[in-house]
Amino acid sequence: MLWLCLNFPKIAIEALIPKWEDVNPTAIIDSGQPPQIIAFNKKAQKIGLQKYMSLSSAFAISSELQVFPRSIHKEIKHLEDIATWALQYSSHTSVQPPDCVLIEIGSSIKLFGGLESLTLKITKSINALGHTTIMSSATTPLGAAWLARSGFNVHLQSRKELENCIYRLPVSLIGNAQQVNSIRSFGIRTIGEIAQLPRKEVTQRLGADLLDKIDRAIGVIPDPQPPTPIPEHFKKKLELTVPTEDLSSILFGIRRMVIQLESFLSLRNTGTTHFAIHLKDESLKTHDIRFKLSRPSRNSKHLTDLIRERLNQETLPSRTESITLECLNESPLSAQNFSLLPDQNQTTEDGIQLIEKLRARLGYDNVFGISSIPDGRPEKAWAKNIPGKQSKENPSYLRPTWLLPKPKKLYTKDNNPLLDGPLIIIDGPERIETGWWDEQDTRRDYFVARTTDHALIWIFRELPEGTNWFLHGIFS
Amino acid sequence: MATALQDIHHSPYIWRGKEISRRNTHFITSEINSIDQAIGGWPLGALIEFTSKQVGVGELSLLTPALRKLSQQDKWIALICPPYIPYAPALSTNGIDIKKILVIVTSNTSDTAWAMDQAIRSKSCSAVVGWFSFVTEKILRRLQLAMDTQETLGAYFINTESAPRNVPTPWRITVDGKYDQTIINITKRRGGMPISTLATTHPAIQECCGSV
Repeated sequence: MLWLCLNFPKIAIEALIPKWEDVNPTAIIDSGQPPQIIAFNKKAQKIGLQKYMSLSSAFAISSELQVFPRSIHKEIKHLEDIATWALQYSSHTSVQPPDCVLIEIGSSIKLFGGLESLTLKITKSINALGHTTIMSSATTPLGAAWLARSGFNVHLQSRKELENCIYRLPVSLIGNAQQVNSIRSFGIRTIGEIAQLPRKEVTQRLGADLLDKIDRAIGVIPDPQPPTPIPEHFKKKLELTVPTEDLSSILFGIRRMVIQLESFLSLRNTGTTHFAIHLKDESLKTHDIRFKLSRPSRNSKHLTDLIRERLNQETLPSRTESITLECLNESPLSAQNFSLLPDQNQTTEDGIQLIEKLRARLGYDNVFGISSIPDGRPEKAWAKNIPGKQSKENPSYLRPTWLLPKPKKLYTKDNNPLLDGPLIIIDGPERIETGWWDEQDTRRDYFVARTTDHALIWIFRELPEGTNWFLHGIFS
Repeated sequence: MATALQDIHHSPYIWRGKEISRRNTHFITSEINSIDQAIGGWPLGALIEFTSKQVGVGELSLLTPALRKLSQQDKWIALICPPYIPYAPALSTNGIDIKKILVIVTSNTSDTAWAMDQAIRSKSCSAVVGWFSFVTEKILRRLQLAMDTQETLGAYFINTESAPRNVPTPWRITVDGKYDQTIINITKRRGGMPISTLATTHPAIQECCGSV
């Protein structure tokens, strides 16, 4: 087994604010008395904040500093999300509190083209999720975690190497503050030095768990990890630290969740056709936006594009406090057969994505296909249709390229129709007499006529009177 | 003297007709004799403007044979903001595979421009045809930029009076009706001089009185 450990040194702040979010100097404090600064963002770093600074000295540096209490619950939740997300790289991932996620990569490393390409891939996606990470891999989970926590970016594949490395790590990794203090009081600085002491004495003075941990880290005794379960339902909520009406920061947050949705769907080998975004504003009113796709998808870029177009059209709540992304249904992705011609599948896929993008901005009903229907009445001989759907053949008569949605009544002079001047009839009549069965009886004589400015139009005379003339189409 | 001439040659302000014609544009046959003979068909990957004073002089029909051909591809033919209903029976009578047609209804110029841009860039359309009631140079520049990288038939129709005087569109064509004829003037084209007064019989006339 080979364990890759992702350590998140800044999880305390990143659980609240993704790393790209450009907010004012912000810091996280612990619950101690007096409270100490334990994490801060880039802007706070610039003005000179330091770790373990007291809150009052931090405020002395900047009065604009925003301070939030640490939320361990949120941090663990975040780590769990990452562990779930990481299931795309391995069937076994696990949270190693307080700041690590473990991925068993031994069985999947070949699939992802070796260690280097896998770590590169993970780093890139972790960045997109808004986290900073340090990665190490080793043959034991605890070994990997210790290496990553000490800030090493190393990949050890043998037990011997691991043992050597572990023995050189500082004792601060190994236990709680009290234990570490008493170890230090013996003059011991590294883990290796503890391992050299008589086991019985160490157990007596410092407790059994210390040696147990070292044994697990170097692989003398097994260290099973609880696997992360694959979730049944996808609903993620993002609380914004600062309420916003800025679309781009809302989209940033949504993007992060869509990436998680993509990995959720790919774990379950499905796509979604219905999903929703709920935006909650300060007065706790919820603004629901539902999305409907014509074909299941889990492509995060496509989904983000759709959401962006749609949100551009919607009036958003003035101050959004939280965003929830919910997947309302899952359906299997249609299997893709590889075509002999390389581009064909891609074209179909592009075609569907185009329709969805257009619909997201213009409205569902404003993008459609057309079909012809074998019906004698011209207005019933066509219909809106699902794009790409085959329709029946119509007998071919002379028909105009443009049809007016409703026939337009023409003025007449001495029973002759007028449209900006007299019309010259050049073909006709074609009698259409049909529809008696559904009480939309139609009896008309159709003509092709030319206007004074040489346009060709399609007009009809209503029977039996033959006095009312209508414009119904244009030969464009 | 010779140096002076060379200086002029190197000046960036000198327009060189040859260079432009060297860009190889692909054409699709228009199946309209006069046009195919004059310019070799409709260009792909370059925006074409059709202006006419009124609807109904056979302006859309100029593209119909090309659309019929393009509809054999497994791609959309996007009709964006058409002024009336694109009448399915007529289009299918003309041989166009109407299941490839995608009608996109928009309510303003910027949506029309956006939809055209998306359709051109998506690589899933063999033809993108739009109708503008009003358009700006900026929009057309953007659309032409999108067209540059594609092998799509891209065209828009606009009323003669609403068309801007100067446009970055590389092909400008005015269409007029004269009795049974559709008169075509190519006022601007890539790599060549304007061509005036090409004529073809209005396809509706061909059909109703075809044998005459």
